[in-house]
Amino acid sequence: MTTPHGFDELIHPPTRLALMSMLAATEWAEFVLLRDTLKLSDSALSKQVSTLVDAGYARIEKHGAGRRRRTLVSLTPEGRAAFDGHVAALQALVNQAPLTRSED
Amino acid sequence: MSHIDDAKARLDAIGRHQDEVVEAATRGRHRGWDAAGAAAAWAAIASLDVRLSEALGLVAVVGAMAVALVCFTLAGRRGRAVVHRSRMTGRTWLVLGVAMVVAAGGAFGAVRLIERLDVPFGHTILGGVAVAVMALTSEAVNRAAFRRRRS
Repeated sequence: MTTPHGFDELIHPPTRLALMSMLAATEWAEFVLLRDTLKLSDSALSKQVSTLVDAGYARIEKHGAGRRRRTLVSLTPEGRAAFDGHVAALQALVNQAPLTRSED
Repeated sequence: MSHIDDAKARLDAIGRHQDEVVEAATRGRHRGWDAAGAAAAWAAIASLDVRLSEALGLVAVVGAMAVALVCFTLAGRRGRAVVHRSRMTGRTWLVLGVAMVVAAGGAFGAVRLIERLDVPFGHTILGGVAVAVMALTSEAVNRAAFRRRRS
């Protein structure tokens, strides 16, 4: 079995891939919007976002205070590059492109 | 499921989730700024009912339209998500451009018609209708502009 270059095991799980997909389509998205769209609990989404933040793929910004407090999540340039690479790898798998390298 | 089938399914899911978040961003615009923009756009058209000098009338229309544009931009920036520039494809600009041309042409034609018929407060009524049409169609236009076609 060969793994296409750019395939990222961290991004590949369905929930994280969904989250990365949404963040890739936006400059930033509110935590609440992501939670509602992905139909996740606060803690489940928080866990996924933390994993991406720890990997350097996402960043969190908090704005405002009290009821107006907003938590914005966005991809870092590294996260965006990793996502693009992963999409290209999936596309290569689908196309069975020759741009593959042996799995270590 | 083979790796190829799995990859296809993931690519489909990526497209679906990206469309979902773009739709959510469109629906999640800041309502207050959108309402302020609609009011300013209405005021711009309604100002044609006020008897002003040509220069002052032009300043009123252009000024109110500029305010409307700022408000609509802020409604997007203060919304729940901002669509990434990578989603602005040629198709996006085409859809938005056609919508703008149709809107401008429709408004211009309606203003000319109202001036010919000399309807009292015609511009104010027209402004209200224009804002209502804009509110009803903007989501659909945005959706058409940003949605990616998937094979």
